[in-house]
This record gives sequence, C-alpha cells and structure tokens, in this order.
Amino acid sequence: MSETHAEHEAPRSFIRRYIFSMDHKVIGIQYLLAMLLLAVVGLALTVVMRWHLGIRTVLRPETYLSLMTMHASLMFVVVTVTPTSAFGNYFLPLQVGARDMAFPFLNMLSFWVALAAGLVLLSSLIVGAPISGWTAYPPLSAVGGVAGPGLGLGQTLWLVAVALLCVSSMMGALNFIATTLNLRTRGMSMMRLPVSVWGWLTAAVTGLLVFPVLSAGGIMLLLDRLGKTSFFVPSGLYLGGEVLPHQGGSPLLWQHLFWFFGHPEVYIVIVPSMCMVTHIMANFARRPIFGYRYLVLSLFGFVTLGGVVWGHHMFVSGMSPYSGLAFSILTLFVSIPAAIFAISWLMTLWGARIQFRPPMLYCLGFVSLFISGGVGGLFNAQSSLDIYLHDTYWVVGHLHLLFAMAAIFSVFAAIHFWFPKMFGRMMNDTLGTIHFWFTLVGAYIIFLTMHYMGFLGHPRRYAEISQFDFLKPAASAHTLISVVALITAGAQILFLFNFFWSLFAGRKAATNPWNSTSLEWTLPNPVPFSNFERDIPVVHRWAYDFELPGGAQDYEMQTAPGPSMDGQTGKGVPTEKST
Amino acid sequence: MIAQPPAGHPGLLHPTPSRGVEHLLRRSDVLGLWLTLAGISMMFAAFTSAYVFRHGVSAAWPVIPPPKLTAFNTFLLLLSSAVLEGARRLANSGRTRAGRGLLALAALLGFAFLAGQCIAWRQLARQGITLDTNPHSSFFYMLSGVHGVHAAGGVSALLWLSGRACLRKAEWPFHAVGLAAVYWHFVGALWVYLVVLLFL
Ligand code: HEM
Ligand SMILES: [Cu+2]
Repeated sequence: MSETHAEHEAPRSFIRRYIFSMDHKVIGIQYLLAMLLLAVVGLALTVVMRWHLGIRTVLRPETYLSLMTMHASLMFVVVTVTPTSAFGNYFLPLQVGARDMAFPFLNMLSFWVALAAGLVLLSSLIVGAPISGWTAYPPLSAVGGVAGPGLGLGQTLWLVAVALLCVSSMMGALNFIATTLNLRTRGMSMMRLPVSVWGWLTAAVTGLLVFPVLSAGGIMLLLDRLGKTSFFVPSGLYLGGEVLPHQGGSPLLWQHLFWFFGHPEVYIVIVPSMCMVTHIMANFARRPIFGYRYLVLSLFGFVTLGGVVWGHHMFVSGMSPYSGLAFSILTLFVSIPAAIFAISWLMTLWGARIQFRPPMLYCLGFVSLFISGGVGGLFNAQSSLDIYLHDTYWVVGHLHLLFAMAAIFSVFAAIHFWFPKMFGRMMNDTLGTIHFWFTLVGAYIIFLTMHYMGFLGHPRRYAEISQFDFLKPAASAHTLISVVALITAGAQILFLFNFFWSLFAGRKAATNPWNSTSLEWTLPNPVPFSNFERDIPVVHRWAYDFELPGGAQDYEMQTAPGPSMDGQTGKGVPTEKST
Repeated sequence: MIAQPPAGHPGLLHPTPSRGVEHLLRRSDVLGLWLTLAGISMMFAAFTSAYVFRHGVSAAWPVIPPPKLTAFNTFLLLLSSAVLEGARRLANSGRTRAGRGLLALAALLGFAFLAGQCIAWRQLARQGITLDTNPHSSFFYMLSGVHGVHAAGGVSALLWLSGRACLRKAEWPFHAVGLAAVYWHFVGALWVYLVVLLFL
C-alpha cells in the first residue's frame, strides 16, 4: 500500500502524464473537461425539452420523461463532481502546500471511475433512458421494463452509473480528507486554511458519510430489479396484464434512503461552491473575510443538520404530522448557518471597493441566487405550505436556483478565477461579463416564472398540459420560459468560446494576476510537476490579509512573514502569532 | 501544461514536517483506512435501518434458518483474525520468520471462510431458500454477499502480503500488515454483527 504514493518521478510518456496520470493537477483538468462535456449534453437536452414544452409539441410523453431524467441525472453528476473533484483536486494540494494528494493512485482511479459513471449514464440515453426521474422512486424504477419505456436496461445502467459515482466519490473523499488533515505545510494551521479548502473538506466528509447510504439503497433497488426481491415493491402490483411476484415491499423505504443521502448531497454541491465563492469574493472585494471562525462553525452546522432534515422531501408521503412538524422545524434551523454565510458575504462587501471582474460578477450572482433560492426554501420547509407546493414547478424553480444555477455560477467564478493558474492564460473579461448578465437574467426569468407556475398548481414532470383547464394560464408562461431558455442556452456558447479560445489565444497570465494571497499564486505558470520546485513554503498568516494600511500593496501573501491577522482573531486584530 | 521537474527534485511529498515524510505517509494510510471503515460502517448502518424498517412494515416476518455452516465459517473468520494478529505481533517483536507462516495461514483461513460462505449459499439454495424467498432471505443473501465482497478484498490483500513475505523474502511489510490487520478485524466484527442482526 505504501508503494502507491512513494515518491514518483514525473512520468515521461504522454499516456502516463496526461491520460493515466496520477498528478492531481492533470486529474483536476480531466475532471473539468469531462464534466464540461456532460454539462453540454445535459444542456442540449434542455433545449429539446423546452422546445417541446413551450414552442411546439415534438416529443412523445415518454420521450420527454426520459430526456428529463437524463438531463437531471447528468447535471446531478456535473454539480456533484465539478466543484470538489475538479477544482479541489487541482487547488487543494496547492493551497495547503502539498506536492500531491495523499493517495495519487486512488485519485487517478477515482477519475476513471467517475468517467465510467458518466459514460454508462450516457449509454443509458442510447439504449432508452429511464422515465423515473433523478430520484428513481420505486415501484416505477424497481420492476423492470413492464413499468414503462426505459425502465428495463436503461434503468439498470442508470443504477450502475450511480454505483460507480458512489465509489468514485468515496475514493475522492479519502484523498481530500487525508490531504487536508495530514499534508498541510508548516504554519498552515486549520484556522489558516483558505475557506475553499474548508469547503472541499466538508464536502468530502459529508460524501464519505452519505454516498455509502445511497450505495446501499442502490444495491437493494438492483436486487429488486434483477433478483425479484421485495425491498421496495409492494404486494399485488398489477402491470402489463399480470400480477407481479413481489410481496410487501415499501416504496417509502427507498425515499428514506434516497433522501438521507439526497439532502446532504445538496450540501456536497453547495458547500464547496459557497466556500469557493467566499474565497474568490474576498479577493475582489479586497477585504478580509468577515467572521471566518463563524463560517467554519457553520460548516459543522451544515453537516450536522444535513443528517436530520431529509424528511422535508417526504411531507406528503403519509408521515405522521408530528414527524412533519419535527422535520419542518429542523429544516428551518438550516437557515442559521446559511444566514451566517450570507451575512459574512454582505459584510465583506459592505463598503468595499469592489473590482467587478468576471470572477467577482459570478460570485455576486451566486450570492443573489443563493439568497433568493434560500427564501424559497423557507416556504418549502413548512409542511403546511409544502403539501401544496410539493411536486409542483415551485420545487423545480427552487432546486434550479440553488442546486443548478448557484452551483454553476460558483463553477463559472472558479473557472474564470483559476484559469490563469490552470492554463497560464487569462480569459476574456468582456465575453465573461456579457455571458454573466445573459445567464443571470435568464436564470431569474426562467426559474422565478417556474415558482409562479408552482403557485398555479402546475405539477412537475408533465410532458403536456393542454388537457387541463386550470393550467391554461401556464401556457404563456411555458412559452416565455422556453424563449428565454433558448436564449440563455445560446449564451453558453459565449462561455465555451471564451474558454477554448483563451486556452490557446488568451493573454499570457502573470504569476499572480489577481493580487491574491493563497499558496497557488506563489507558483509559476505552468505549475511544475511537483508543485513547489524546492522547499515547500512556510505559511505565516491566513489567506485574507487584504486592505492593509500603508505599504505599497494592499495584501500580503500567506507566505509573507510578519504580524498578521488570522482566522481566529478575526478582522483587524494584528497578532504576533506568525511562526 | 505540466512542466518537467527539475533534476533531483524532492519527490512528490512534503519535505518540511519535523518527523519526516515516511511518518506522514503512514499517518495518511492509517487515516485513509479508518475513513474507509467509516464509509463501510455507514453502508451497513443503512442496511440495518432498512432491515428494521422493512421488518416493521411487514405483517408476517418468516425467518430462515441459518445455513448449517454459519457457525463453522464464523469460527474460521475469527480464527483467521486471531492468527493474523499473532503474525503481526510476532513480527513486531522481531520474529518475522514465524510471522510469515502465520500470515499465510491467516490468508488461507480467510480464503476458506469465503469458500465456506459459497457452500453455505449452495446449501441454503438446495433447501429451496433463495434470494427472493422472503424478505429475511433477501436480507441474508444481500448482507452476506456485500460482506463477502469486502472480505474478498481483505483476503486478496492478505494473499498478496503473504506472497510478498514468503516468496520474495522481501523485508517484512510492517506497515501494510498493520493496516491489513485492522481491516481484517473489522471484517470479522462486521460478520459477527450481521449474524447477530439476522439470526438472534
Ligand atoms: C434554507 C435553505 C433551504 C431550505 C429550507 C430548503 C428546503 C427544501 C424543501 C423543503 C424541499 C422539498 C420540497 C418538495 O419536494 O416539496 C427542497 C427541495 C430541494 N432543494 Fe432545497 N432547501 C434549501 C436550500 C437548498 C440548497 C442550498 C440546495 C442545493 C444546493 C437545495 C436543493 C434542493 C433540491 C435539489 C430539491 C428538490 C429535490 C427534488 O424533489 O427533486 N435546497 N428544499
Ligand atoms: Cu433537502
């Protein structure tokens, strides 16, 4: 075992260096590109879906449902994997001052397994994708092809992909945790870590605890499908002209297992996103982060609360009203750590001389979307309201503002921010700014309109509504959404163009183009194979020493000796604690 | 994108800690192992809650008899664990030659456990008890199967280690044996837990 990460030379062959690479930087880029591909496919699917819903009926209902399932599942993989596995892989070792992840071989494996998960998922699109949605509720998902199109081989492949994703994520989590806890450089105390590292660590810990639960559920679902067991399938189901052999299973059991994973899963996505945004925002506000210590505390709050609120997805499952009340109240507590982050952002921004470069714009967009979506969450979280809102477009709007848009905005921010370090060139600011505005405005129009449709009582996952009189008013809303969605999807071309064009023709980047503080910006472009050419630098302060009085520059890098402010003492209290 | 390392670059690892690189590596391995065990435990916690839940919603809960080999297999697995522990301690006190034999024995016992589990499955199947007979049998096959996969991982590690220790006469892999022992004791304890959950 110890051999796997014994000191290894930089591999010479192309294959070992760029394909089967154990270098965390290459792996991070591989993750990023693979997820970009999945995201483009996922986005293309929405174009078809929106065309169908708001412009012209072109799909059979079951085709609509399978495209919807695939869209959601692909995007689920994208937002789960990208913030942590792409950016965390590349930048966590750099930011803590390590030469690589603790287990480079495992790291390589985790990428290839994740890629396999993505490919298997795509292959289910080819053999006929399932129609059971990203939550794969049984019995629909559990009894095979008799239940509908795509529920045979397609659903099985879907489950295999989920299992692979679980395995990959767990391998990744081991690396993130071990690297953060064990491979920090001298002086890099936990309370001096950049907030982004805290985010990746939190996501990893959460993932390590809940992906196994999803795996357990997935195994049981596979056995119901392939082994005719009855974990989830109730007695007496009559499908395709015959009574199915299953006896006495409980579809609710799947919901419990799925959401016990599913709610923490949204934190696996959003917590690293929030933390990357916090990190990047301080840089462009040129301000120390407000309340670092409380942010770290609220991360613990997220993980803990995340484990006890899953029932808020099941208010209408027939649970006792008392449980509903308990889940409601616990869920409302989530607003405390969320509010601490929001307050920190606003206080950091308050009175700052903000530099409105694209990374910062995406961060501000993130904050806005996060707060809007969170306010919607407060509605869902009350069982009395959610009984009405559940399974309507309201929920679709809510989840897209957060799980989708906010997460993607953090990814945009991260790409624009770290592009110079990853690829040695700058992305174009003008294109970035235009893309930002199109996407932000588009996102709000699309998803706020969906909230409104939820109020009308428009159910989610319907391919067609013309038969329902009460949904007549929603038809024009559908058209509006579709038109805006097509424009917004089109605007993503700006981003893709900017990304690929800048790879080759962007302005050459300086070592530290954003006047940033954390360790990755001490390194030359391109970052050398072993990251730190000679010795790993010693760290003397936290990563947010901006707004320094006097002096020629308004920031100090973490490696700069001298009195510092750190995360424990908070803003503006210089200490002599530097080692 | 990635530059060549300078000649004589210091390797991938962190050179600064006071107690040296080796120490850090070991600490990471140990941490990684315990994290893995935490993950596996979460999985079986999920299975357990599913078991309790599924039991709770059933009007009748027919229980299958444990396969006749269960007691013997359990004995094999625990014996393997004990033998491995003996090997580890012997080697740590410097008697690596004796340790080798015990290490190989532990691996064989672990392998025997796996074989025994397969036979136990066949016995049950011959009695007409299969995966889909009733929820209890489903849980039995599933849990023993998933446990078996984890045990197989452990057996492969033990076989590989004893191969390394016996055939190639390499230096005794203290660190790896220590890790494998922790994992293997965990696999044993997990099996005892499953037997208790299912049959007591
Ligand atoms: C204060 C914060 C939040 C509260 C109180 C909250 C509450 C809820 C509730 C009660 C539901 C269930 C609604 C229903 O199905 O009827 C829900 C759905 C959802 N939430 Fe949130 N939420 C919050 C933040 C977030 C965040 C930050 C994310 C993701 C990053 C997120 C992602 C989702 C997703 C994906 C669903 C839909 C799952 C589905 O049924 O497909 N939520 N939220
Ligand atoms: Cu939730």
